[in-house]
Amino acid sequence: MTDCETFLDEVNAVLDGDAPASELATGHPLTCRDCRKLAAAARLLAAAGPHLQTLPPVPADLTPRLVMAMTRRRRRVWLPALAACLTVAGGIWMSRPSYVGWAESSRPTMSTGAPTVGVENSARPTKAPRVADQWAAVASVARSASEKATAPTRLLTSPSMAFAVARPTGDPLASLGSATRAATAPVADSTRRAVGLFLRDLGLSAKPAG
Amino acid sequence: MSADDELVARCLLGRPDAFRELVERFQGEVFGLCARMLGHRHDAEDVTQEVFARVSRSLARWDRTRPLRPWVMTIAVNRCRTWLGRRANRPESVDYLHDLPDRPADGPPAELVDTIRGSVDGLRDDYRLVFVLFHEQGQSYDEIAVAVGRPVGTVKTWLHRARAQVLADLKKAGLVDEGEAVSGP
Repeated sequence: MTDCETFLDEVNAVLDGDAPASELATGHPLTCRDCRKLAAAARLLAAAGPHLQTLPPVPADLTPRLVMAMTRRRRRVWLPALAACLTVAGGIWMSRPSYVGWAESSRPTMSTGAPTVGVENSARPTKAPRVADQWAAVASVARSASEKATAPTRLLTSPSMAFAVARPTGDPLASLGSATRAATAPVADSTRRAVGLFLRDLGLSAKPAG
Repeated sequence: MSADDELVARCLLGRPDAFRELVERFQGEVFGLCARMLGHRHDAEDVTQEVFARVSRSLARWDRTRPLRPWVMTIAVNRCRTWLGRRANRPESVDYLHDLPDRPADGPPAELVDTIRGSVDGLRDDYRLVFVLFHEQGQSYDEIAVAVGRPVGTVKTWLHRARAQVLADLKKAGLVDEGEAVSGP
């Protein structure tokens, strides 16, 4: 290693803060013009060092944007998705012909012309209320979950955005019986909103309503 | 439980005050790095926002045995690299110098600081990155090595080359007074 290369190491040691700048004024630079210049430049850089450490000021509106970016990312999107799945599964289950049949025919019917049908249905008149109770419990859980999941959104976005949902073109519950629709009514809106928010998070939502 | 640990734990609980504290703790360095690396204020703001969004998503994976700051800066470095990779043109001259606090009267001449910053802007990305992290943000070699994902030896090599270029530019700009350095033959 030449003297110049050795001196370059000394320069870096000074700029690293491991040696005093005064070391650059002795030894090899006394006999080497290039290294003398290098030493002078290094002392300038060392002197300017503290003044380079002035960070540009953060724009005033950046902090709330950053906080919003962080909290939005942490919103638990699986809860709305779970609520949607529960509703869809419940809707499918309740729209089964067997369920709709005995739910709506708990009263005597003459549609089949077979007197035994009414007799058969009347043998289990308590099933529909029991299922309705179960459905109400499911609806309550799903609604609670979706409301908890979407609560931060209300705080973080404008009301128009918070209620922006991707509404389906038709009523997905139209094929259900009237009793089923009545049972799903409490949860349908909140679930629709949760699905809309979920889709918006995925970038699939169209435009905010309003 | 360290302060970092406690802060992250509160963030993971979804506490807005914790998010704000985390942002306020690191936004200066992250934004400063982005501004110096990207050379454009609006780009720096966008990338800073990306950085904190990514920090939020990845908080659960943070290694609690390691300090938080280098981890955050690693994400910032990676986002800057990605952004630079997308951008074909060289960064435009940044005007952040106008926003800097007033320099003290007993400090070095503005021309010197501007020349150094201009020289750093002309360095290749890796060299500029380590120079900014070391000389402008005061980070150690170990922290920089974590942030850039390279061994300490590589970081030293990059920084020494960056310095050599800056020192050469200072000499070229005529700011070096050889007579003032030493009095020799």
